[in-house]
Amino acid sequence: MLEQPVLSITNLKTYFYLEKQVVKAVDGVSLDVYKGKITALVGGSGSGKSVMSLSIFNLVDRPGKIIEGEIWLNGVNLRKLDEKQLQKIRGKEIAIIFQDPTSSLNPVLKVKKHLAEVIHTHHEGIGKKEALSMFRDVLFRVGLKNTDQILESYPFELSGGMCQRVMVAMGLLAHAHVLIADEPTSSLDLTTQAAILEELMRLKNEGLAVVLITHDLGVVAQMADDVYVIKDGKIVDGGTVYEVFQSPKHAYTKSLLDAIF
Amino acid sequence: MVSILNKNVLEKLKKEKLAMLGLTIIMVFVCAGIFASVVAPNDPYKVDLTKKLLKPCAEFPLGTDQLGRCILSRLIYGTRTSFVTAITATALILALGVPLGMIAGYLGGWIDNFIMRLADIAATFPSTLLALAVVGVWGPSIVNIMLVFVVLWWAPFARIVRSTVIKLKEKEFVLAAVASGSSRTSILFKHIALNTISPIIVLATLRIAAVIMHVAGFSFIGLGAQPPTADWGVMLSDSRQYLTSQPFLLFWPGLTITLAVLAFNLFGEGLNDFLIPSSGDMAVIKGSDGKNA
Repeated sequence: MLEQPVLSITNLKTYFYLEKQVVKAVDGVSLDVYKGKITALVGGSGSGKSVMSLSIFNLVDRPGKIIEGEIWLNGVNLRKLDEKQLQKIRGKEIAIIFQDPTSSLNPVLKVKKHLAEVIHTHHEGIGKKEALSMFRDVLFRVGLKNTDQILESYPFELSGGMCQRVMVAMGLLAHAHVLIADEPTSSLDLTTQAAILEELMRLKNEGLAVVLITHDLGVVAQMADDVYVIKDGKIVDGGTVYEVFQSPKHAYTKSLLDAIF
Repeated sequence: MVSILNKNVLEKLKKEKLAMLGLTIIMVFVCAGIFASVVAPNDPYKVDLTKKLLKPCAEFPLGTDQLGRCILSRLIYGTRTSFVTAITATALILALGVPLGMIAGYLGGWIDNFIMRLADIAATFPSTLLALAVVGVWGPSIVNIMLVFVVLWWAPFARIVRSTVIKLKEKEFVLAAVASGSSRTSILFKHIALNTISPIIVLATLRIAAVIMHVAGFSFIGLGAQPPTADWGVMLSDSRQYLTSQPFLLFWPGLTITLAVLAFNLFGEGLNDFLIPSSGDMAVIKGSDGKNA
């Protein structure tokens, strides 16, 4: 492959220093994410997939610590940046959506305020009117139709799927090139799941790089281009979906596949 | 703030009967205080010894005291003293306690430890003792008493704000805000502070009642407001000598204090049930019965 990856992680290690032991949540993970592709990261509970996504944002709290590794995003090593510089990149270059959309939005702020904060943080000098039409556009892009009403809603007035779309919209508004979706569908019902996944597909076709973190191989088979299987903080299997599904290298991948087929 | 002034919220609050009763009484007091000069039938400071200790009549609806002053008028003007003191004191307590709690909760570490140990000291220091000391140095006055409360009573606010902030800090939406590039200040003020408002309001309402009662108490023992100020505590204190002969002199200010304290307590308790049904922090907008989409 000649194309350069948008996001490239090499040998990332994030350890948690507990009183009596060191938990190696992420232990030497390397992976590449390309523009216009969905890269799936598959693993069971506690395999380190969420810690990995937080590590990219440098959001691992004590006692966790990133020990080594490089995180290249568009040719910039995020590990070399300080907090101020990282703040500029978070949300703007790379956005994340979490598992539980209803708790990812501040309960006392209207959707409009959430979007306004993105504008305020990442695009200075945009007028109110212009911002408002941007909000409508971006909500429409993520498949929300009744935009005026949604802008005036509090998160609790929206369904889980709608909240998740608002989260995606916030990422889009900042013009993020990479969207990390950390189990974006596991707390949603089946129809909403399908709708959100369809949305991710569409974003991918628009040229975004999507990292889909999941434990659902069915979803991976349906959506992903590349897949990495992570176990105990290590990548045990990786490649295109066809390669991995047809000739799994690791016993864990086999057992995962056996569990669904 | 916006969410608390939301129309839906007010509609729901109307269903809390006792809270509404409390609020009504509070409003009556507040109106009486603001329009004291209009509402009061007589000048509260006009001494007329020929008219002392009168029974209730058309001119003096609740009678007169030992110096011939109108009791009702004095009670009405006393509302000003009590409420202004209580509300100012509570506002100052908030101004001190809330930021300290926020800093402690958000920053953590040794700063947290330092602030919370100060809070422990403030919370355990006997207020009467400090009041005596302050009055001993700067003389008896209602402002000095107020200071005592501010110095000692910020602690519970700092504690409740700190614990709420710590709880909120772990919430996913705060993480999401950090991940989307929000600055520290934006996170603290927009995402965290707004969510701590409901417990603060509840505690502040209950605290106003406590301040009213304590200020009256200190005025009664002569450390707070000084005669001839129209103040409930002072009135109580003045009536001591007439306890057996003119029990109503004691009864009216006593009843007024009870009513005011009761009203704030009812309102505070009602707000508590309503704003924090299960000590949840987003309960403000969720209302007492969950979702209301």
